[in-house]
Amino acid sequence: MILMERISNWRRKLERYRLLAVKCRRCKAIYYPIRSKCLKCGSEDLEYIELPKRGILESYTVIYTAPSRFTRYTPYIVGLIKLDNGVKILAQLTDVNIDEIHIGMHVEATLRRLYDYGDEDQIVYGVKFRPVIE
Amino acid sequence: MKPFNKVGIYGYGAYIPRYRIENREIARVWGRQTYPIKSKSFPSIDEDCITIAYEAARIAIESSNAPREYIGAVYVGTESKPYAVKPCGTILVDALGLPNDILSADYEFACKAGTEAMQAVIGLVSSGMIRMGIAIGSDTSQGRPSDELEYTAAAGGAAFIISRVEDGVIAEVEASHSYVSDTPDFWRRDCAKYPMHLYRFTGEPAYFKHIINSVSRFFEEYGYSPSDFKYAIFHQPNEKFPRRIARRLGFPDEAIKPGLLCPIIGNTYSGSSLIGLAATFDIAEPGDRILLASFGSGAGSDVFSFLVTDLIRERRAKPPLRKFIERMVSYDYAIYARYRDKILM
Amino acid sequence: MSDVVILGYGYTRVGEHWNKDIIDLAYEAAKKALSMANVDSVDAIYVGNMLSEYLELQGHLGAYIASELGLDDTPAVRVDAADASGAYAIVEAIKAVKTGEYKTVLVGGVEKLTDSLPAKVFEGMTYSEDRFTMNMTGLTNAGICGILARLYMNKYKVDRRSISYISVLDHENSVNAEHAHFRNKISIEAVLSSPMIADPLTLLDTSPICDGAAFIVVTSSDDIKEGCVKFLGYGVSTQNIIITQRDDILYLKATYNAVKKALKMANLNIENIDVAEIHDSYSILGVLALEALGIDESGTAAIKLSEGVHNLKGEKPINTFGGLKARGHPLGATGVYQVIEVAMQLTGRAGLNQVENAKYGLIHSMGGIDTTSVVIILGFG
Repeated sequence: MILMERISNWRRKLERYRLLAVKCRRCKAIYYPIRSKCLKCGSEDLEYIELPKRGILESYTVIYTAPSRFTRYTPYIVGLIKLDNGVKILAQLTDVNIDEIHIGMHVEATLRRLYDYGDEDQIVYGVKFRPVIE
Repeated sequence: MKPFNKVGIYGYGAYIPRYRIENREIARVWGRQTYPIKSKSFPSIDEDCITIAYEAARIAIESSNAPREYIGAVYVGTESKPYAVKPCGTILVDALGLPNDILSADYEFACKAGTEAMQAVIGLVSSGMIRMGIAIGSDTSQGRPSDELEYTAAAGGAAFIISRVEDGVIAEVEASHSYVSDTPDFWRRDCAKYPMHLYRFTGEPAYFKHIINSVSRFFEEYGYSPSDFKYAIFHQPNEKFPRRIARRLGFPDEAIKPGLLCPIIGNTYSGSSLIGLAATFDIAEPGDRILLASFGSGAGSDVFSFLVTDLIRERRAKPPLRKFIERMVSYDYAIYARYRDKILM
Repeated sequence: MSDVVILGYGYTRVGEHWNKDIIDLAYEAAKKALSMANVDSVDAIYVGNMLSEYLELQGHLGAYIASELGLDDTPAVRVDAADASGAYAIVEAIKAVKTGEYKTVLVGGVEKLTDSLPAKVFEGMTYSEDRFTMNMTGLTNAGICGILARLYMNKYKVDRRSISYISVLDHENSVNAEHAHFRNKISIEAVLSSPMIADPLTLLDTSPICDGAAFIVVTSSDDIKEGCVKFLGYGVSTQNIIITQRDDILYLKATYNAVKKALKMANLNIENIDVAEIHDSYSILGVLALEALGIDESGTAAIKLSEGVHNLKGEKPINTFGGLKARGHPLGATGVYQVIEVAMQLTGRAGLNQVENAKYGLIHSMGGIDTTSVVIILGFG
């Protein structure tokens, strides 16, 4: 079961690396993660787009008790982020202390290690968000 | 070495992690009274040489608006690559949206791996085999606990997009040189976690000899002298070595100042001289000539001469390196040891 | 037209059963149910369970339980709707009996979690959400609830304490519940100061890891002479598993739709419900459920809980044996425990936890974060 997950990860790498999403050609609704059918108008005519890499933090939690593959990273922060185009996503925050987080803060995407399957096994990379640097 | 068709730097970017440990904190743990630099960077628990290379390259591409479809090579120089077999560039291709019709490989030559990558990309672009290429130096090198090098082994990276001058460059590559010999000053065997070195032997017979040789042969061949250069960047394993080599070669302190970051960020290995180059590009003006001399243990030295053009003002890296330095926060040895995976679990 | 009624029920204590395998737990509860129902064979078996494949490498539970009970030639199936599996299994059983497909059905739920390391259980529980988001974020179900709790507090300007009163209520009620996992009273301060699980939710905001099995025997009321507990209505609904794609992340829309269907079928209003067992796997979900069920107005449930409105002796009692926090939440079995607890209330068998004159009861069970929602309404007659 876990073995096959590596291939599933590969299938969805662009969603993890570049926030690849789909946009309904008919009604312009945008969905992330990718789905096969538009929820608003039912069309299956969806095109790939990349989501904007900046957004605002709407809510967050700090995970202290983690599922097995993430236990070595605790405590870590997961945020609900509203990207510049209005699409909401869940993603980890990084490069920020817990007491620096506040609702409404501006964040930007970067690439980080999400987890790995062991010392001799694959590393899974994906988007995390950090306070905007400018 | 002079590229047949003129090439130059189209864009550049550099990245340093947010985490910093003061040298006095390391000294406190190991009971030392003196230490070589003020502080060094270390990567977050979720960073590695690939994520750092990603950031440096992303900044280079976005700051210069380099058309991704022209990029025909992504070479990463590193001595801390996450996979012994699987190039860093494979992940960068998909993470950065580069074309799949591309060359990719990792380079290794200790701290000069990044400049080796640069030499190769210069050759590929100049020959017309590819239109643009990215050369990256990125490392999250490990320092053996309590060893001298633990005080300086740091994390960071810089990326340079090379193109033909006709495409518009911020600096021309005038010429380069490379000097290599079998000199076992510092090495790491295949499965070893930490490198080994020969202490003072890493100085005169290694660092100084190879840089002096590469630079003087370069000067001889092309008729340069120190006064031709506004800035000079040398590989920076600590603060003393680059200052000393600058003086010996005849460069004044102001020349090396913008590119000398080791005192606060440490030795970023394959990123070392390249980060210094990026910091220099952040403030250089049209007409400035810049010397870059890297050093890699084992050993060898690459030297380049860059001539800055008017385009520098339009394509400076955003954010500039100093923004990354400004955001750094100091942490204690416990967090450092945990993030650097030094704790036996 | 005949009703579907409960002939008998059986359940194990909820807790750590070191000496019992998953099949032993199921056997104990199912046997009691068959015995109370006074039947020694059934036409079908439905079993709710969430994690036995993942944690125990044991699947095919329906058939396994049939074998263990010595019930040959008995169609059996396992129902999966994450932690609403038990309630959903009951709905399937009701439908089968209502349509005349089967006459008498054994339906229940069983879960064995305490043999596994907690981190593995938490990982398994995330299967109720979409794998891509769970892998990308490292979220747990508690983590999602932490994000919801913060949104709720900011939206309705309620303080941190008010979210956690439901845990205090649960523990108050479980003191006299013999089958409950925890039977100690706790204070609101204890909840707030217990170890942080997923900020702002603490350990005592979350239901425990435990084992349990509960079964009921259902049949059509055709041949029943005396009064019994009957199913007046049920409703099942689902909503988008990707919570960021929902129109309103705080709205338990599936619960709203499920209760609407159930009330319509039962020909009742929510105000007619005398006792409700709601799905507070995490304190904030209990708060949101009270609102989605229409028991409290939007944004007021937390306040109502702190005022004691939902206490055992309050106007609208809930979780009368401790709810998911104190009675416990053996995932796939929970919905069945809820139904049995309401049955006990309706038949005057709730002992010190008895709600006076309980005529109509409701259970609410969710799969994950309201991705599936099941509401079942019961009455006595």
